[in-house]
Amino acid sequence: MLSKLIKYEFKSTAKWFFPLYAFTVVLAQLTKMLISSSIFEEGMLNIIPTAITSLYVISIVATFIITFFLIVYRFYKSMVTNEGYLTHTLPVTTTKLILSKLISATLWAILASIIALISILILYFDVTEFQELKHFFSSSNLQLIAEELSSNGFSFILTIIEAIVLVLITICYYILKIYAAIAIGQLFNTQKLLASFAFYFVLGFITQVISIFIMLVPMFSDWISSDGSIDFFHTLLPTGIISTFLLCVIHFAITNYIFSKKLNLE
Amino acid sequence: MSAILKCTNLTKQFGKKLALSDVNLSLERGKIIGLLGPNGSGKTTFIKLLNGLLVPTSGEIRINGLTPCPQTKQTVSYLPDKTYLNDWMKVCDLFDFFEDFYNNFDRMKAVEMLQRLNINQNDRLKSMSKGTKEKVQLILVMSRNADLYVLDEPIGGVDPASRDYILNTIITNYSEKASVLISTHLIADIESVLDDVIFLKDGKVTLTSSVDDIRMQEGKSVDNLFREVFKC
Repeated sequence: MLSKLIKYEFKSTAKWFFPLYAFTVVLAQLTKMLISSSIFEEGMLNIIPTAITSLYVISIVATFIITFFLIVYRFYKSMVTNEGYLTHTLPVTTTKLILSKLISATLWAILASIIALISILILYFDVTEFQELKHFFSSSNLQLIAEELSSNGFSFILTIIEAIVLVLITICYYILKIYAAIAIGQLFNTQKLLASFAFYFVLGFITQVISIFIMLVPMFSDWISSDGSIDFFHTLLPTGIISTFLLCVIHFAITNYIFSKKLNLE
Repeated sequence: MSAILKCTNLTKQFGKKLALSDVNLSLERGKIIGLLGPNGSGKTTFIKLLNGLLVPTSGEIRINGLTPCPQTKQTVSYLPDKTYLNDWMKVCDLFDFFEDFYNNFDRMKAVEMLQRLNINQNDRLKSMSKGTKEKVQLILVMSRNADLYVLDEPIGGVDPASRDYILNTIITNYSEKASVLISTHLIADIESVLDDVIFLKDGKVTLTSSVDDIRMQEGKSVDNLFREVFKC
């Protein structure tokens, strides 16, 4: 059932995301062609490449903002509006509903980042610079980085894996924060959307306050060795992963509880 | 055979408002039951509880012996009184969707009903009139081989000829194992297909009876009895 739900999530959202990402990439290509052509170098026409470049920068930012907005819209529409009568009477548990939406949203968020990266690469790299970049990432350089890290007690591969996991978990956390805010907003009889919006910030605020308190703990605890700094760095990524994961679990639980026990569609 | 639906002391409270109060009901299999009552009597609350869209404040509601869960959702086919389907979807997309999630969706039946009502499978819901949309929604619901069909105002926005078709579909489509619960205001139109009725007022059940008993004992139609009982 979960795979079916995910399939329909993609079907429902692909028609928004693909055009958006295609547009961003095309705009990047267009910008590159315009600024590298010499037609516009004379006088007044100079304004055009600058304008297009500004538009391009805006489009990169817009890609993320619109992705965020579409994730909110999809969840809200299918869980809280009339479509909720369809969603919540499907023969699946609420957990699977939320999970399928989370997975789909996470993948779109990752795609948005990749598209932004591709779009930047299109604009700023031509072939010679690409060669330089290849050289930078050559095996000998990577070897040096790996050696430097391991002399400080880090495994290169593990660090990369941890970093990727942390980024993924953080994306999930931001999405689940949206879902939990919408869930809480749903509890109100009027102005559900406004309440959701407000609670998005309230949740963020509460999380920040609690995490500041938690961060103070290691500073005063005994499990820092005399050579304090390295241990902090060793545990940075794993603690980041664990704490963000806990946040994800909490927000998921809030969303799940509200939608299974406190649902009240209009 | 055991009852398909059983409520015991079912109560639902919203803040200060008592939408359903101590409802004790049993729906038998193979019957068409009318859930009748004025606005605000608790019909929609009852239907939502049945579908797991609301959770009881106290008491129980059981379908085939189970409290609302994915399994009961598989066996209950629900038609809400609003457009709840994604507007951009084509009818064939919806058939795919229902076929995917519900193990008792009879696609052939659905296609046949669609053809009879002259609706094109490739049309998007967005392009349809309200009446046509309602027909599509009804087809989807009645094409499932469910144990319990729950229809909330199924003939409300539909022309009289289509109403007859819909009522006919309802009678011919359910089996001895299945029951149909119809919630409506248009009692006169529906009365001819009903076996039993439940009158609901202010969250309480005021009457459960078969239509025949009402006609014999009260000597009047259900519609007339309703107007009497719920006179403003």
